[in-house]
Amino acid sequence: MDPFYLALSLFRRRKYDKCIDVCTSILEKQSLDQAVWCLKMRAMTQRIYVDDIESEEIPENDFLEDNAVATAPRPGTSMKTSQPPKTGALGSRPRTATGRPISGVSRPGTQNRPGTALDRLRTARPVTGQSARAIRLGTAAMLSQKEGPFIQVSRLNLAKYAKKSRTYLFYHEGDVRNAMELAVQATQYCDFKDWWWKVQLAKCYVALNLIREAEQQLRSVLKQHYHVESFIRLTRIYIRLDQPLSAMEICKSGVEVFPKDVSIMTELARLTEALNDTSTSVKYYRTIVIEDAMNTEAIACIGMYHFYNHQPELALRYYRRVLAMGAHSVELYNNLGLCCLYSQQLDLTYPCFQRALELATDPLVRAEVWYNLSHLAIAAGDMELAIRCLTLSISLDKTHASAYNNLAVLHHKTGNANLVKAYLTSAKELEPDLVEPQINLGLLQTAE
Amino acid sequence: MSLFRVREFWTTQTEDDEYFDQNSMIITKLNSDSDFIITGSQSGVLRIFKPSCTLTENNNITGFTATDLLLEQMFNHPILQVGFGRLVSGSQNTQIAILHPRLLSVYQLKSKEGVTDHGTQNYLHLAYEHNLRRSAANFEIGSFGGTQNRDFICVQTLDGMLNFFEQENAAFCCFLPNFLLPRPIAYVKKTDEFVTCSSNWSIVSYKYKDLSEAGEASNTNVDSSQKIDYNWCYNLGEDVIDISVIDDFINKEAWILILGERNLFCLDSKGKLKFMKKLDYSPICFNVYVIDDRILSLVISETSTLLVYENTTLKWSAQLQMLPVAIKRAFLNTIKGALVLLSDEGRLECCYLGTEPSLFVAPPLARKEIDFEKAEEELDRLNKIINKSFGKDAKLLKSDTDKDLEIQITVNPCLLPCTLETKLENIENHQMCEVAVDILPKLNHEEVQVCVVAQSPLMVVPQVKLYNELKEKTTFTCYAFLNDTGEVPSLNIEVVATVVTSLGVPKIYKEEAILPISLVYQLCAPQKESVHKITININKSPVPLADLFPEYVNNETFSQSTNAIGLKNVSSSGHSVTVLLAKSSERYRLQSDSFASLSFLIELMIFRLKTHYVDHSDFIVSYNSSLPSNEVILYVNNHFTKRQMVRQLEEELAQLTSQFRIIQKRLISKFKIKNPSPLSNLELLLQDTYDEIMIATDQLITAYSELTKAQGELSCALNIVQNLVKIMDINPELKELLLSAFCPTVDDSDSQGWEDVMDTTLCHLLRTALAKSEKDKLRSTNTAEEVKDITRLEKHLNQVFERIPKISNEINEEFDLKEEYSPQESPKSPDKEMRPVGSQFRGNPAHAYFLQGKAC
Repeated sequence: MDPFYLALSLFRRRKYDKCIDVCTSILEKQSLDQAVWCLKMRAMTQRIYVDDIESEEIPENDFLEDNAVATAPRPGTSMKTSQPPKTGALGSRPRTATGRPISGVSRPGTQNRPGTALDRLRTARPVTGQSARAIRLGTAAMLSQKEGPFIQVSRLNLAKYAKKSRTYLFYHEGDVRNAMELAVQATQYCDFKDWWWKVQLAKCYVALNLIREAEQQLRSVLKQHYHVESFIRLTRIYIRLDQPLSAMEICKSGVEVFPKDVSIMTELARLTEALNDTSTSVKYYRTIVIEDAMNTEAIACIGMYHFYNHQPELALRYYRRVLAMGAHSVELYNNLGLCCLYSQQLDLTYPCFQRALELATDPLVRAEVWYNLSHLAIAAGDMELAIRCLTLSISLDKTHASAYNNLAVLHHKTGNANLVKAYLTSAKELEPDLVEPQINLGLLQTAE
Repeated sequence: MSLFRVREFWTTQTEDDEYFDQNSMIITKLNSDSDFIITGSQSGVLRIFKPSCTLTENNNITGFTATDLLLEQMFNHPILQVGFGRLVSGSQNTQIAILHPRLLSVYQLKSKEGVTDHGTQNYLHLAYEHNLRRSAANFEIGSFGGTQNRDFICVQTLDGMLNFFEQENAAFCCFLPNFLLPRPIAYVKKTDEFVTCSSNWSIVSYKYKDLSEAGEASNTNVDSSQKIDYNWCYNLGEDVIDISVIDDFINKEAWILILGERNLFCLDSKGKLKFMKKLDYSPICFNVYVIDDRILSLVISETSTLLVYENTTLKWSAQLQMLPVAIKRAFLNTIKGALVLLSDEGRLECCYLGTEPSLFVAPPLARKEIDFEKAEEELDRLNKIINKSFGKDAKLLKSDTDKDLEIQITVNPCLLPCTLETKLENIENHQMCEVAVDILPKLNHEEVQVCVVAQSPLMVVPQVKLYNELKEKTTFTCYAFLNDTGEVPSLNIEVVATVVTSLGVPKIYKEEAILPISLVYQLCAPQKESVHKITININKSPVPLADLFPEYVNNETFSQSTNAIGLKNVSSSGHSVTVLLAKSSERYRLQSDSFASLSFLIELMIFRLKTHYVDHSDFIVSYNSSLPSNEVILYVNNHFTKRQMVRQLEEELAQLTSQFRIIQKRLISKFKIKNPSPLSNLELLLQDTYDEIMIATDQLITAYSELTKAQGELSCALNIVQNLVKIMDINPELKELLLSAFCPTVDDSDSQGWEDVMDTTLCHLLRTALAKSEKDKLRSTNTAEEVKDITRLEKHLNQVFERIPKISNEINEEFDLKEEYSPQESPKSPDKEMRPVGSQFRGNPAHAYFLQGKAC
């Protein structure tokens, strides 16, 4: 068989490593075979491809960041000043330390707590957050390839290879600057008619933190061509610029073009959730579930909504559905356990938590499970056990403010006032936005 | 992830080392009433199946039987693609086309009926074949050009040439423009066009007419490279996995379905988007069909899930047993619309969707039945351990009476020439001293960290060592030496062992030792008169200096009978110190031109005198004159000025750096502007600020070293005070307080300087233990504020020094009580208890709020 055909077939069957090997051996014989060279490049790109829309992280609190329009936005026009929930803070859905309500699924940036190990690992300069991440992806791949750089941008025949080379540069080499240079040249070559290049240019701009330029490019893309991805990318840019209303507008126009599109609606649902408008968010999630009944994110978020709306039985049904679909994770078992506990199905509670504990390896997640187990102990009236659970939780995650608070309340019953005060103070220091420790401290003070 | 599982009812597996691809399977009726499955592997084996699949009595379907395989034939070349169509001229029957790398052959399936099922003999009859000049990639069969009742073949080669074969005749060939890699190609009958993906990731369509014209032209004139224009073009923006064309008879439209790497697209025959669906998984292959006017697509994901979409709505999803490379639908005798799946390695399956749940069974928990009695016993045991180690938090701090770890320090009196790197330059005969630390654990310790600390300018290398799982005696050897110039406050070294016991309880053990004096001081000529003098009294006959400083005996200037000894620092910094012995009056006089230099000597003298008279319990070393307040104040003053200077420089630096950042920010926003504007000399400002920052940093470095020196001297002075207080004849409780007040370590943190702490401490002493009148007790409490005016501190210091001897003689019982009721706690009296407040809110129960359980 023709080795080139074999390489093509291997590429189609996703055997990228073998494909690269075959291509390399062909290239050794005929070093100028452009098609083979291109196929090799594609295989190398494909091998490490990550969906960058889903993994995009938005750097927070950047000192040089002057992209946000208003420094003191009016209520409702910014993520930071989104209207607080009307139900009153106590007993409502917990929030992340950045003040956003906890979401049903974990995505980049949904559950971070400052002071955790993960947060500290990040570089001090968030400007480079995105590109550093991309470069890390790139360097990992570079290690396995020793022949040195594969592409020289200046010698490319733009019409033929440009698109493939660009993805290669962007994903494989992590060389944003060169990728951008290529994109700029290519856009000019196409007389600014090719929407794809504009999206790529926008991607490069985002990686280089030139948000406004990216916005401009994507705006012009949407005038030219409708693509689901362009809508989502533009939405992300507005979120980054802290303009949730514009983001919402883009999403809504996206839904008009692509009615009931799951990806855009998910974006809408996440956005409304971040803006504290949970009921609207759930409405969107419900539409998503009608369109795509296998969407775990939507199901989990609806389940979460019911859970915090004091309907654990309903939440249980949604989580069981996720379980039936084959998800097998700590968080799921933990949530199932909690739902069982609050819906009085006590016989199922222990096994669920037992499974959760067995699966939990990450200390932070384990801490959460122990924290929830303490509620089980409290429900059973076993204060000793509850204290043990909370102590375990704290020993696993030293920044768990809620655990400190609850531990303080439990110790209050034993009358150890100094300890109570110490625990409450540390809870307050760890998470200054948490209301409970503050109220409890106030109560202590008035009692004195 | 899915709720259901696909049910397979007919399965077969080929031999090893045969590989299949996307185009390796077709389903065709082949002139009969139900479908045949034809597969061709890359090893060149062609197989024709016809699943019989009859229903048995109990409603089951029979699986694969040997007679289902009608034909198996080995070819000499790999089979790249199989196809079917009316390919023989003059015949209405369907033939099979087989594409080899350099050969295209068309076969007719013939069968000789036998008496029984297995007697039927099938064989392939070669109709015709075309040799190909270039390596082929794939082909497309269709009634190109609107011909009726006959099909033509279009073969795409690996280098982008389209070869057209009108049945037995080779018609023409042409090159596709901008070609790079062969991509799927599809023929749209309605508009007589070919649809493929171009190298710049857009879908292009070429009219058959244009292609044939280009082909004719190149046939007549080989050199003319006529460019073929596309009919329409849709910019897809991603690579294509497969293209499929379906005819919708109700709407009279042909839909072009394109499976991209991330999205599923549906275009109409004019290249306009009907819908697109973003796939949140990697698709492998797909199959599309129309029921009424609904477009149904079956997409297989990389995780072996089959997803059925109606337009963009997900209708069904089911888990597959294997990951296929091709999916088709077949109409069998008993089952209409069965799914036929072919895997990469040759597993062929016929399935239906069914509602069999894809029950995910979590692996069982590895737990035994609990024996309740045993469990209770274990619980009790564990509870005991927990209560012992964690029961009350205060318990942790108490030092255990039984020591689990012993530290022995051996300081080798013989000095070695120093081989380690120091900051000192030009120093002759620089020496170091070996210190061996023996650690004797009595229990198993999880972690032991040993740290040897010496006060600057002395240094210990290596300083820290960490042991894991320490069980037996271990020796840690390190070397102490003089690292810098400056006054030596003390020759003490401190060994700190931080221990985590096997129960996880952290503990700390401390030991102290004295380094040999000859490490730092050498002999010099004694001085008769000096500025600073301190006299120590003893109540026994004086010890000759030669006995006190045996290490210097045998030197020319110092012998058994001398009554004076002079010492000076080996690094020749500081002043020399002289010890004079007054034989008649049992007194020693220590004198030097520098007060700080006396520090280590006083300590050493007291230590050596006490060790000399260790057998005499009534031996007392004492100091009777007043404490040297002026000298101390001098050093305090010096330290304060140096610290203020550092402060000022730090502030300046902070201001400069923030200015630098602002300029940077300004520059960035200038660079970002579309239309470049002049920098208006910002770059000069940036450079200037940078230079100033560098200057300020340099100054700060010098200031820091001066501060360190001042700290050292102050620490010397405090050490003297502490040592003198120790031997003064005053109330032991007061002595304790004073000793803790004059702590010789001088720490300046960012937010709090030594003066701030000292002032608070002194005020507290004046208010409580050293209070002279009622007025003093009413003094305002000072809570460790920053000291701005040094004269106040000086005043307080003087007052404290003045009052010490006055109270020293009378035994004052009162201040014990006073202290206990003092409303303010000083940082230096940590022994005071907080008032118990717990009992107070037990009466009125406070409502405490619990946080709800947190779902993740």
